[in-house]
Formats: sequence, structure tokens, C-alpha cells
Amino acid sequence: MRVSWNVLNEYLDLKSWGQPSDLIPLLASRGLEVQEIEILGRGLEKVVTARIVEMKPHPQADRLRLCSVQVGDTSLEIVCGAQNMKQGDCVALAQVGACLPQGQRIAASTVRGVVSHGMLCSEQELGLKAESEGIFILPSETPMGLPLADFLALNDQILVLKLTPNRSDCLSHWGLAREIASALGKKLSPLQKVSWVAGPACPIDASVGLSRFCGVYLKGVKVGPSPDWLVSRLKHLGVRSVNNVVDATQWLMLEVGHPVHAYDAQKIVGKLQFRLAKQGESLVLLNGQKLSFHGTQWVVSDSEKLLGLPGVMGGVEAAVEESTEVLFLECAEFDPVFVRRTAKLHGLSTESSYRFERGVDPGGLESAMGRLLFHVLALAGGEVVSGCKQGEVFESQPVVWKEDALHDLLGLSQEHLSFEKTEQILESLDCQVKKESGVWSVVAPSYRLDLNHWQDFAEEVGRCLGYDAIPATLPGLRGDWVFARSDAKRWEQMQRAKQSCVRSGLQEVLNFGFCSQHWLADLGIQPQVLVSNPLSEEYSAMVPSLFPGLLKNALYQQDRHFGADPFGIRLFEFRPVFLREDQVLERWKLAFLLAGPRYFQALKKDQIEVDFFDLKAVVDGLAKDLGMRSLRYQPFDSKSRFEGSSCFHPGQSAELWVGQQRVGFLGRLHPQKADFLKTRTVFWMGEMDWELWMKFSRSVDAVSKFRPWSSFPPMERDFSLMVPQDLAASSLCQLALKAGKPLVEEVKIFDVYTGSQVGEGMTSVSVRVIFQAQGCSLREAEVETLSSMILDRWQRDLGVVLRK
Amino acid sequence: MIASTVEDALAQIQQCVSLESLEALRVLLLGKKSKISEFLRGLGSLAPEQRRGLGELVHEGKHRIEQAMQEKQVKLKELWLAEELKSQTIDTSLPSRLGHRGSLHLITQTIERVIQIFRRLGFDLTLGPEVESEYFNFEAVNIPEDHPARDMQDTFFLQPEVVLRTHTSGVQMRTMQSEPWPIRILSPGAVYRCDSDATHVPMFHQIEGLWVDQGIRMSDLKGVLSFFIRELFGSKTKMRLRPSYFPFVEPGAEVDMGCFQCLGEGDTCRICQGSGWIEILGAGMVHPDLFQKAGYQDSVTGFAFGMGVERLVMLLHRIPDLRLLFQNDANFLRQF
Repeated sequence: MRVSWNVLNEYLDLKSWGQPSDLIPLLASRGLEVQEIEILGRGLEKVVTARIVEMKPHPQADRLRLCSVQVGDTSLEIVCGAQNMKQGDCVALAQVGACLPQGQRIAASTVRGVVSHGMLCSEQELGLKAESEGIFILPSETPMGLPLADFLALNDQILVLKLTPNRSDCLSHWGLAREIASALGKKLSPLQKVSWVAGPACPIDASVGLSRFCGVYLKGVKVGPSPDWLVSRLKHLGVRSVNNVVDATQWLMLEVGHPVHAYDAQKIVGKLQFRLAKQGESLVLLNGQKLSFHGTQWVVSDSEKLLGLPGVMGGVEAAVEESTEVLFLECAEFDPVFVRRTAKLHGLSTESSYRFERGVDPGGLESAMGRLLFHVLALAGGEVVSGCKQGEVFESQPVVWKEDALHDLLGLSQEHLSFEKTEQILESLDCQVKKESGVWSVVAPSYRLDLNHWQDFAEEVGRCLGYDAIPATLPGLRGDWVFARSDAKRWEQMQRAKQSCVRSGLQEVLNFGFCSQHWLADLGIQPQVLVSNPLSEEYSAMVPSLFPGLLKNALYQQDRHFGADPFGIRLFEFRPVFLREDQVLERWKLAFLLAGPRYFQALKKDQIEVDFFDLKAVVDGLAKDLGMRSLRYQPFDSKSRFEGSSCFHPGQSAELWVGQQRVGFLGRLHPQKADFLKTRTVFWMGEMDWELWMKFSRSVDAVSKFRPWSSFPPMERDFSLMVPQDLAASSLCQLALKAGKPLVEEVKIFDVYTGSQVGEGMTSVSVRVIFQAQGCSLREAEVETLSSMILDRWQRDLGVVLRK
Repeated sequence: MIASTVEDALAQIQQCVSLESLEALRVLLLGKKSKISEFLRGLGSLAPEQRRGLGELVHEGKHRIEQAMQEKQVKLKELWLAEELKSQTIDTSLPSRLGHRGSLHLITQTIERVIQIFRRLGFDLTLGPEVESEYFNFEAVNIPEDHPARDMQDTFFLQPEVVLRTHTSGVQMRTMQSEPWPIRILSPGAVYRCDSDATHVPMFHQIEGLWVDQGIRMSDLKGVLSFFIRELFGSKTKMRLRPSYFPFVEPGAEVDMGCFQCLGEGDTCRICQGSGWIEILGAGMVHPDLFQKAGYQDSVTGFAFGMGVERLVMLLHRIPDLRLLFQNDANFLRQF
């Protein structure tokens, strides 16, 4: 909202109190934010009105003229290049020392041998118009030597306020002045009004969305252009002048905050109706927009035609024009929801709808009409014929609270704030205060629609006193409080998982919850949840998997890496993805991506590219850190279908299972996808279903209990085995552990070999079995027996034999 | 004769330069075929009186040779070891085999810092969904449909009545409707608004706080937040509350902290724009309508606050552009 400093001073002498900028902290402390202050006429400080008394050609230049200009008592010689002026014209003279709005500094300068003592300015140079031709010629009756800013009524400052939706009472000059007066303990000079009386008849019919209404007929008005002061005042407040009557209604709204409307009464047939439109009706608005209706939209009409959108914008049908002689002035209180829906529906937000949506003073209709009549009569003449009103008289309900309630809520004692002071504050806000036998009963003024609960009055008292007066205390704790609910434990587990990723050398990234549908399509991933009103295609689909985001990050990092060395990428992300079942399902996932050299830094001889087993190390680390039980790596089943499954290399990927549930997936980006993405980097990615990991991992509450270890020497046996290639080597270990229980402590695969020396379809796997007993040293013979038993089982169960 | 043999032997030992030749010399000088052994063997054929004198002489000679041999061996071993170690010298200035160092995103780090501070005051955690019903996001926190307060937040819809939450405040009602007071929670998470330019991103993070009990006062809100701000930005940081409006609190306040850059004295300070104050969060006393919706009794009061994590991160780490936080550039991620 734009507010004129000069107008505020018409109600309240602020100029003797301070500067416009002094209002910024004052209003901030009251909860009203001034965004900026526009100083009108900035740069026009040394520009004055002047008259050209003599004009002759420049002796040295054909295109220049020498002008003698009169400024008050003195006369100055000015060189000017413009052609549009003549002797006797009134012009704008920038005197020596002026610094014009665009930064141009004026000095006495010599132009082709003649000294010029200033400059005659164009409207563009004065910052009044974006473009202009020739110098600015002022009306011939303009007094000389006047500061141009005064002459153009630019000696004002405009406060631009950003008000919160609760303070509709401050959406006007009067309302803001009222707030300032209350803050400064001053009184406002009353507004002049024309009194009027309502007759028995009311020209309103069949109304919905209308709470209260006042109307006045005026005859004999002369519609014409508004005086300059009003045109420029409206212009600075962001409103275009139409004619004196319309301008009067606009100014009334900006002045007291109540949007009003003027109709040409002779164009209204029958009674006004605020009703829902019928199928097939149409309306042309004052802004030229043509609307057709199909039945449910709210309109104002007479008995024949539509006249406008109530509270939003009038139509052309009964608009006030030059020819209008009889006016019908409307001052109504509309239902905020009706106005808001109407404005939204038609995509129109007007000064009027903005105020109605936030609520106008329900008790102020008659006085607003009185002020409107004052303006209209002053600007367009005429006389009041009759008035009417409809709707109940508004009465604010008292709000009650027990003696200390406000103090208790704010944390103030009587020393901070006495009851007398409380009463004073409330009265300074026009509240009617009663306090009887320890109970407050307070009636708020009708314009304060936001004061309905006693807590609202606590805020009023708090803000008027200043929040700084409230002390800082700490609340007491309770002995019976239960700490750490399940979400806190979930969070702790999530922190553990993140720390595990960090220990594995991964860098956390954060991506938005939505991404491009095209990008998903490129990766062969189907989005399941779309945004109905996306900002752009880039953010149109909720992510169904974290792979797309991680790949995008990796490709971005690669593009941004200009070095010649290969570039290591280690990323992880932890956030929900969005799937659709019956409804939108939010499921937390933890995903990682690895590519490039294994070490951040190392000599070339030590450096190799990461592969599946670096990726697997991340998962193994996570399982260890989270106490995940019995995690199984299973070959990627080509029939598996899940988000992103088509992105993976079928032979270099694995599914992660616990029991009967797939808890994750990891592997290499499919070479075809890599080709498609035009990258030669081999990307290794994995995604874990966090909900299942939570389910199968050790709870954060679980306490690790001490387990003793054997202090007797272990014995080792190495086996070199011929294993069919389709057998997972890990099954050798599992079987040996099971068969040799409890004396087999550990089974390790320490070498694998495939090549000409082992048969087709076979792999040579070297396994070390470590035997150890809890309470004694093992004897050679025992180990021999166990070894041959394990060998037997390998042969019997898995068909694996010793390599010859 | 013996004396010269011994002297000769000692001279040879002295000249020896390697452990190998010393070993060869040991055989030559002390072995079975050595002159000393010959003398020893010759002693047996001598008369007893001769034998004693000569014997002493031979034994003493042998002992001297052995000792010289021992000393030389130690010396040669030292020399050998020095040589050997020298040949094993490596250049320790060569680069290490440094693994990749992971780290948490700055936003995650900051959320954790904030949580840790409030944990010290006994705050617990709740997590709310990012996909939220219109009810919990708006109606439940006093922003009914057709209320102008809806204009304060531009909302992404997934389907009718299902939105991406525009703030973490919905968690307030979720918590109060699911459990009785007292409540003292913090709730971090991502939120979404239809806004994208130099100072806005469509997804960002908030942390909501809520404390509900009998006798909770606005001064408690002030104490808790001032503790938080001083913990995060330093013990000298000032704080002020400014009246403001959020539909779910009454009284409501905007919370400013004193500018840590200019300490309120820089007219041209870029961080606070010369005002000396930086706006960092919104807060207030829980609106009575919310308690009513939650079915709590009248005697309960409480406060709530909500802060933008990105803003804290940018202030704390002097990050010039919000978008840096979501670019995931390696240069950025590695710095923190």
C-alpha cells in the first residue's frame, strides 16, 4: 500500500515530530512494515520555474539559441539546443549545482564561446517521462521562480507498506494515521463529512454476499476532469485518474479504506441485485475485459443487465461518464469470501477486492458515505436527493478475560505493566474497557476485525507496550516427562546411516523433491506422482527414485571439472521418494553413486577405477554400522521391475535381500544408458529402502553386550576349489561355517582365478578356513577331521571339488 | 714367534672391510688350520714347565684375536646397517594414498546443530510428511480456504486437497491431535513453494518448534529463542521480537537478531542493510483456535516458532547466493 506523507500530515501534524523515515522503526515496533520510502521529486532540488524573456540565435552555432530567462528578480543567460520554445514560454530551469534524477550535474559551462548558467530541461531529463521531445513547456500562468517540485506537487514522500492480512484497518491513510496517533498519544483532526439520512425505501433486491449497504442519490452533478492536485495525488498513489466522480470514489477508498462505487443512476433499470449470474449473461468491465457467465458467478445487476463484479470492478453499462447527471453512490459491506472467489475466478486483484477480502469496517459505512458525499459535492457539485440503507447495525461483542490473563500469557508482572497502563493502552486503541470484580470486559472498535479472542488483546497490549518490555525466562521442566519418542529414534538411526556414508567417503547432496519428466523418461523411469501446477517442466514430476538426481549431479560435476585428470565422484542422498498406490506414498530412500578413481589422491601406480566391490563396501559398511542382520546379495533378476531397474547392467548388479524382502539394489549403470548420456564414465549406484533397513537393522536402543573371544591359537587350512561359474562363491563360506560349527571361526575367500588352466565354465576359488575353539587348543587331528568333513559337504551339497 | 703371529693377525683384522671377509679371516686365524691352533696343539708335546709359560702366551694371544674379531664385527655391522638403511630411504614428500573424504551437506549439518541446541533444553523430535493434506497444511493451522493468508504462500498441488507442504507448521496440529500435552518438539524438514528466482528456490528447509504446557508464557518463548540464537551465533548476540502476524499464533512475532557483522553500527552493512537487525524467524503463542481443534483444555498455553534453515546457513557461512546450496557443485560440497 502506498501512503502519502503530506496526506498523513493533513490529519496529524507529523512534520513537527519527525521525518518520514522516522516512521519506519515506529511502525515496525507496532507490527507494520514499511518496505521503502519513495522521495518524489528527488533530483529536482535546484530546478525552478522560469520564463524566457528574450531569445536570439547563438553567434557561433546555427542549431543553438541563447535564451535570457527570468527567475524571480534575476535574469540568466542559457544556451539551449531545443527548437520547441518561444519567447514568453514558461520552462523548467536546472540551475547551476543541480543534480538531475538521472545523475546529470549542472555547472556553468561555456558552449561555443558563450557561458550558459544552467539548462532548460525536457520531461525526460527531469525523470517525469520515459521519453519526451524538446524542452518541458509549462502552462503560461505558471508563477516564476517556484521550485518545480512544489509546482508539480512532487514535494511529497510515499511510504510503501507491506501489511499482514490481519491489519485491514490500516489499509488507508486515515487508518494508518490512527495507528500512528495511538503510538504517539496524539489526536487526529476530524474529517469533514456531509450528513445524510436514509429514507424508508431501498433499491436493493434479492441479495447474496451482501452484509450491509448504504446508498445515496445525487442530482445535478457535473462530471468532468479532476483538478490537478487530485490527479497527481492519485497518480503517486498508483491510481489513474478517470473523472472527478470516479476519482472521488477512488480517493475515498485510499483515504478511509472503504471501497465505494458510483453508478449513473439514470442507466439503472429497476432495483440493484447482488446475485449469481445466469447462463448466457455477459458483462464488459471498465478495463475492457469481456466476461461471459455460465451460472454460478457472483455479479451485480439491475433488472435488465449486468452492471459489474461487486467489490471487484464495475462494468461499462452504468458507468459514470461526462453525460451523467444523476448519481447513485454505493457503500457496501460484502462477504470477503464472495469477493475473494470472484476476484480469483476472473484473475482480477483490484485495490477494492484487496480491501474487501481483508474486511472493511462494518460499523463505518455511514460515515464513509458522509465523507464520500463531501468529496463528490466538492468536486462535481450537485445535491443529495435521498439515501437508503440495509442491514443490521453492527455491534462489536465484548471479549472478557480474568484479571491476570494477559499478564500471564505475556509473562509480565504488575511491575512491568500495571492494570492502569493496560487500560490506557486499550483505550488508546479506541477500545471500551470495563473491569469489574477481577474480570475485564473489552469492546474493540468496529474497524478492528482482528480482535476476537482475549489473546488478540494480549498482542495489542504487548505490541503497544513494546515486546522489548517482555522479559526472557525459561520454562520449568517436568519430572514426569517422557523423552525420545519414536521419531527421535528414527532420526538418530538416520544420522547413523548418514555418518556411515560419510565414513565411506561419500559427499551428501540435496536435490529438490521434483524433477523433469523428460529426464526421467531419458532414464526409462516412469513418474508416479505429478505436480498439478509445476513452475516448469524441470520441476514437474515428484521423484520416484534418487538415481535420476544423483546422475544429474554426477554429470554436472563432471561437466564442471575441467582438469585433465580423471575425477572421483562419491555422492549420497537421503530423502523420501514419491510413489503412488491408492494415494501418494512417501518412502525414504538412501542412495549412493560412485565413479572415477578409487583414491582422492595417489600415485598412478596405486590408483585404479572404482568397481562393484567399492560400491559393495559402502553397503557392507552401512550394514555393519547399523547392525543389519543377514543381508544377502542376489544376482539381479532380469524379471525384477522397480524404479530405475532398467538403468542397470544385468551382469554387474545385485539385489539386496533380507528374508523375503528386497531391501535395496546396487550395480553399474547400463552401458547403453551411459552411451545415451554421452558419458564414458562407469557409474556405480545403489539405492536402499530405508523403511526396510529400519525394520531389519539393530534398534538405536539396543545395547551391545560384551562377547568373550577365544585366547587359544587358531589353525588355518587353505583350499583351492574348482567352482562352477554360476555358483555364488559366498555359498562356500556359508556352508563351511554351518558344517564346521562351532569350531569354524571364520571362512574367507582370498583369491579367484578364471582362465585356460581351469576348465570352461569353472572358476578356481581359494578359501581359507580358520578353526578355533573357545576353551582349548585344537589338535591337528581334529582339524583334519573337520577339513575333510567340510570338503565332503562342499562336494555333496554344491558339487565343488579340490583343484588338482 | 707367537707374538708376531698375534700381531700379524690383529693387523689383518684391522684391515678387514666387510663382514664376509671377516668371516673368512676368522677361519684363517682361529680355525683348525690356523697358526694359533697349531700352537695349541704343539703345547701338548712340550715339557710341563715350558707348557705353562707358553700356554699362557698362546691363550692370551687367542683371546686378543677373538676380541679384536668381535669388536671389528660390531663395527662392520654398524657400517653395514647404515649402508643398508641409506639404500632404503624413501621420499616422504610424495603424496599419500588419500581416500575420498565424505561430508554432510551444509544444510544437514546446520539442522543437526540446531537440533543439538534445542535438545539441551529437552526438545524432542517429530517428523512430518512432505506430501500433506490441505487440511493439516492450512485449515488446521487457521488458514481456511478463502482466507487472504493463503496468499502468503504459493502452493504446489499434487491433486485436489493434497499439497506439498508450504511450511512445517502442519506438524503442530499433527502432534497435538495425536497425543496429549505437555509437548515439547522440534520438527525439521523440506517445504515447497511456487517461487524461483535469485532469492527463492521452490524447495527449502524449515525447523518448527512447539512447546505446550500449563503456564507457558511469551517470556518463555523469548528466553528459549534467545538461548538458541546465542548458542548458534555467539553469546553476545542480541535478539528482539517485533509484532507480526501468522494465522496460527497470537500474539505473533517476527524475531530479529543483532547484526553480527556490523554490531548495529554499520550504515552501509550489506548483511543487515544498515538496520542493525537481521530477521531470522517467526514465532508466537499458539493460537487458541489450534488448542480447540486439538481438543486441549483452556488452561493450556504454548509457543511455536519456525525458522528457515537456508537463511541460517547463509548467515552463518556467509554464502552469497541461495542457489549454491542446491547446485551440488563439488567445489561447494567439499568446502564444508
